[in-house]
Amino acid sequence: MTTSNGGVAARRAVVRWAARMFRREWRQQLLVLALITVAVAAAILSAAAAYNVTPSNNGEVGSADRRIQLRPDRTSSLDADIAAINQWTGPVDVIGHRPVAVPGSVEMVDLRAMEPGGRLSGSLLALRQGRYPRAPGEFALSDGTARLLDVGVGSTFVFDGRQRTVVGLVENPSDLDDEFALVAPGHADVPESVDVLARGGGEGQGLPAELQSRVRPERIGATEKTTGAVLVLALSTVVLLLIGLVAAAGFVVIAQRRLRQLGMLAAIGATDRHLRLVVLANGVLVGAVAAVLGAALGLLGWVALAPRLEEPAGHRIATFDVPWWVVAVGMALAVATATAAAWWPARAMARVPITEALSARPPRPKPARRSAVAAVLLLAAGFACLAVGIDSTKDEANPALVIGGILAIVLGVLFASPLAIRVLAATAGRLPVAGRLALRDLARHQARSGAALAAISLGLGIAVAIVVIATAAAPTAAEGNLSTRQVLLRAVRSDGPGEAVPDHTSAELVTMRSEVERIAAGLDAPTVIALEAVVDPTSRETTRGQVVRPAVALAWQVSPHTFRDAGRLYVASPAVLRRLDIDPQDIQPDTDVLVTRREVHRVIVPSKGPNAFREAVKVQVIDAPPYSSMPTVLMTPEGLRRRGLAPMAVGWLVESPTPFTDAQLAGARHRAAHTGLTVEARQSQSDLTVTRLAATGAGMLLALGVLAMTVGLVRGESARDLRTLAATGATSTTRRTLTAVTAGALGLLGAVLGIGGAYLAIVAGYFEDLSSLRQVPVLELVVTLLGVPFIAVIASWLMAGSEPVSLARAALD
Amino acid sequence: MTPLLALRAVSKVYGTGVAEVTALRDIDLDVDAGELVAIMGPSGSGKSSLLTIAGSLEEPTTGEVWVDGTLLSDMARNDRARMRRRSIGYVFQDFNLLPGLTAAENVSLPLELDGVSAKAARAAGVGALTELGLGDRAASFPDELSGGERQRVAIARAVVGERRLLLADEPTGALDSVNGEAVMRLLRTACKRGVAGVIVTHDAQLASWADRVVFLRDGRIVDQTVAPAGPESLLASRPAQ
Repeated sequence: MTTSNGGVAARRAVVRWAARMFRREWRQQLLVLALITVAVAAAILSAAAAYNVTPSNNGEVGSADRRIQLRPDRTSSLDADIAAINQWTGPVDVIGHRPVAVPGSVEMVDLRAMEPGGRLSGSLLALRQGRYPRAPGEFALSDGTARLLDVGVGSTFVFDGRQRTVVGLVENPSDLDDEFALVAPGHADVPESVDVLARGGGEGQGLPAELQSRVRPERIGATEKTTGAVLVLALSTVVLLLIGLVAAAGFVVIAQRRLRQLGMLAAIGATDRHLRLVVLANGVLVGAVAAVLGAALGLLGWVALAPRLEEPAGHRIATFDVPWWVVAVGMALAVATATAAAWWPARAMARVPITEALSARPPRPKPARRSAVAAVLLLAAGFACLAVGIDSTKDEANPALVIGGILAIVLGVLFASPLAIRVLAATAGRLPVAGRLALRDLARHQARSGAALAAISLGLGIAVAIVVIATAAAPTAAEGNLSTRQVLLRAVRSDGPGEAVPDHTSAELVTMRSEVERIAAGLDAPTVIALEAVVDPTSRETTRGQVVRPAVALAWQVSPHTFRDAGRLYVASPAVLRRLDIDPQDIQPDTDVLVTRREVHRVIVPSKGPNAFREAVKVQVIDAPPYSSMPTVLMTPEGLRRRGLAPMAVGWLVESPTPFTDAQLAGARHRAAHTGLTVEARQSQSDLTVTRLAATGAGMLLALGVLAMTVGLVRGESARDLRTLAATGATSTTRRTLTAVTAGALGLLGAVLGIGGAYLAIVAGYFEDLSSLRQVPVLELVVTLLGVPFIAVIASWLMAGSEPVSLARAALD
Repeated sequence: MTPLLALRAVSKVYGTGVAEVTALRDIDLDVDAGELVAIMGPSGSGKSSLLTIAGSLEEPTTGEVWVDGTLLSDMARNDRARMRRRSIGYVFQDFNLLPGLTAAENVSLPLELDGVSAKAARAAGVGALTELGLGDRAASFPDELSGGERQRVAIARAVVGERRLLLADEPTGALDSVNGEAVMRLLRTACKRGVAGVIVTHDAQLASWADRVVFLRDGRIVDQTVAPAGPESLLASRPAQ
């Protein structure tokens, strides 16, 4: 029994034909295929990386969910405590720790006693070379510990008062930064503390009361690996949604190309549903092929990336520990995207009257008024959503409003495309015949040229948005940490004690000062200004083997209970004041601190602990360059005296009349490293430059790909006009001009709409802080605005010399 | 006897306002089963419009079209599509075969769209091709066939199954005279099996194969005549050898 739609047999026949057509014409869908493939590959690769950045097991407790720390030096019996815990939770793993000082170093080594292959701690220990220690006097070292002790497998030396032999190299696969020396448990190395790792045991019931009073079982939550992967997947969905719009444009082009064949199908009795199925089946096929290719590409990329990710992630990664459900969802999303993208062309093509489809005439363009109204409404709604959804001053955003706003603006640009084409075509009357024909043909083939224009605008719009945001994020030449003519030589090693100030001896400072002079001698007539930080003379501590004094900082009051760091306090020495063009006579005698902003400020003295916030200091506002690493937060000598603080040398500011070259900076860094100095120069903006260039290039490539796909089709179907022109005496130049004007017009309109749409979205996003957009990426905008049409014109002029292939194909069909 | 195709006061107007064109005006036409009718007329006289309206490819502005006793305007789009699959065969001047499908698949496509299994439809398709002398080209794709072969495949597709009405729009327009004659012979043969046929042609020689010739001018039927007996009728009247 059959239905009016022919049932399964009919659908099978239609899908078979669609599959054959896909096989014959897959090259024409290469752009859409490539876009979806790359998106799926990137999604799977990123999701696998995000999933594996978090280790499968906790690097300290393995697969245990409870850690009980015991101190063997107490009066109780360690074995009895462990037995009690064992009874409470079931089998436990025991790890003993004893920190041992390394001779001649401030570093300590964790002498760790544990059994390999523990039920709960198995993921905390792996053998890399040699064997595990079995006897007293044997141990295995982690890489870092072996380096620290300068020994290898087979080395025998005295450590912790005992002759020991290194029998192997080990690691903690769940935490590669975990450095330790492994000894066999139960031997002479008595642990200072013991971690009992357990799983289960409820809330403490069953643990002897005496033990409960001495220990506090620590609950360890399970590691959450899927969050990152889910976030990547969510981001990929948004990207695929945008790609879906480009794909829709591609499918419109393909469906228009097959319009006559769809007419034939309808003429022999295919229903609207059959016609839709042809285009939809093509979408599904494109999505399926892209999903398989993308998944393969993504997984291959992951196999190559996984070993390189171990070091930055800090733990071993199992190559095939991939969130397979994310792979499956990513592939399904690709198919869904392509299918959804094919839906609109499928619906539109099925509605074309059969006789018009058979004649392959483009459908009569619909009045642009309705789409113009929709465009205005969508653009306004998108602007409002983004303006409300993003608070650029607080770096906060409402994801739903942001996604809704972006989609509304993208759809607004989509609906504005037909109007833009009609407006352009309306100007054609004054052009020479080739240009006139080209622009009018764009309007005649509005369905496909409008879709293509939307895709071009979208590609360029995304690129422009990235460029503008990257530019807004980049500091200007007058901002950043330092200018290109400045370097800051800090009197601290690159692995030094953070914000604390090393307490160098006079001899060390003399050595450093002479090294700074030598570095300066290699530069062009530089000025060297010695810098002193403000420290608490009563506080002194040892960090990483170095004696340091905590630096005093300044905080400015944001709200009654909120303070923000205003930066390190330097001493307002005469040299610094001279550099800042401040006359010491202008400083009020009761001024404590010179700052660039007028708020309530307080001095933070870290060594004062909970009382670190002292009373407000008297500040005087000065004009100073806005560079963040320049000494512009200054305490006057009188302020130092009044607050009981002291100056301490922290480095030198070296300024040159001309910008430093890369070679000069490399030389300075090389010399500085040998003396224990650290060089800070203007932070390079190359990353953002690369981002901007990559975005511009990718957007232009996408736009040119869509252009190539569309222009060939529009011109191929206007071949009769070309013949007519040839018959009336037009030369091949006319054909070239027609194609070039078609491509150039689409490229120019796409660039204008893309830039306009991107700026609309970004202005909405930065609505509360438009000053961030004062830097305009002029170069990238000009390259986009002129480069796309220019390349399109040149390429189509060159390629339009020969007759379009579609002519021959049309005859065969 | 009820005519298989009946047009009653059919008019067709394209466009509106100054662009309005009346393609057909008050056309009345009956075509009986087994009858072959040729439509002739100058360009723009409305021949193709008449055929597309008769084949339910488009709707008349006014008037009624009856196919096999069913009023087309009463039918839903899907039902009209089903009628095209089951009752109406269409032959186009430029063949309109689907690239990507073999000759047999092209012929069997209307049956498959109607829910016939692929195997049975293919058997019917190959049978139709064999009847037209193309059994050995069943697995060929359209771009591997000559013009005459393609038109024979198109005719096979138009007659396969239980088609009652065969509509042909300049079916010989893209063929040489030998192939044109062969195509007309096939159409004539189909009509002899009880199919009602309507062909649009400019060629009076080919129109002579029809039982009746209808002349159109400016969208009106200006004349109808019973065509003189064609060459085939002469052959048929010759005494058996």
